[in-house]
Amino acid sequence: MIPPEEAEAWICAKCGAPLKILKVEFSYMKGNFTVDLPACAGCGMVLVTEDLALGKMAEVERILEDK
Amino acid sequence: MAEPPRLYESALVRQATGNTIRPGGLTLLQRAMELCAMASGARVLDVGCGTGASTTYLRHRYQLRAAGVDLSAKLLLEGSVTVPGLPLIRGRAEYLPCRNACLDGLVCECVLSLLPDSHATLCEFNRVLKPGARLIVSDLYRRAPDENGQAEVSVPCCVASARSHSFIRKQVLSAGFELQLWEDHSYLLGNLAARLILDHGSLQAFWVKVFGETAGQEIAHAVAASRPGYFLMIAQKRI
Repeated sequence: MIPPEEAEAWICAKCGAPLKILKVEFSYMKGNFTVDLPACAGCGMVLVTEDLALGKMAEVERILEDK
Repeated sequence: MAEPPRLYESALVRQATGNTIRPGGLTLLQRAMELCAMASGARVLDVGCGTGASTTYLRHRYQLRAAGVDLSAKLLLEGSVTVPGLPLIRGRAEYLPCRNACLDGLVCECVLSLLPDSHATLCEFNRVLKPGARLIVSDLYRRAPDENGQAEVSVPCCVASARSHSFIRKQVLSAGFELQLWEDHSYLLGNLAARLILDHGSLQAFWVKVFGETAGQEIAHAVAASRPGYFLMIAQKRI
């Protein structure tokens, strides 16, 4: 979980606004999920950090793909 | 000595599964009811009803005379507060408070895998059902090939103690049922596992939060070794 102050250190390249921790919905295979991630409140761009991508997102992908 | 935590009473499980306390919520019950097409007024028992979410659903959606039975006083109390007057009884699946051959249907969701003697329980289900009546079971099952290699765990946990498809099938037939349907719905368990990972960082972290460091690690390993899946089964009491 990224702390709010760390999220705000990132600036959306399109909107110029700091990112905030927002509830982000995503779908993968037959599942719909909501997760708190740094995102731009203006355009909806979501930041997926390397730690997240290689950590729990990788575990989620492995589970959902039934590997 | 304090009793080990019950997974189905855990706040963390409730947070991820809501009132039904199982993967998929009412999805598989709805599927089973479409297939069984029970007449309104049919007498059905929801064994392991928890807070009575399925009992309520069966009564309101299908106008069945459904009642629930569960071991957990905590969950039954919650159910009776949520839906006053809902017929919920405290009891064990192995000793149902019913006469012989009095039920048109029996629903048992995510319960058999938790019981020490699932065969005796299936025989009890057979006793209370009318000939030709339906048994609807949804539960976890072991997909890893070697059942003999089942890991011993020190606390009761349905995910770690799930049995194989062939084991369950043999028990159902031996208890006096004809198997009418077996469907794999493991994606529902996968979706729940994914939600737990997103909420807690990893499945291992989730198990440790529920059962503590030692038992949590033990269960995490047992679960990974058994490769649990999730099924819907419909069986009919032999006529």
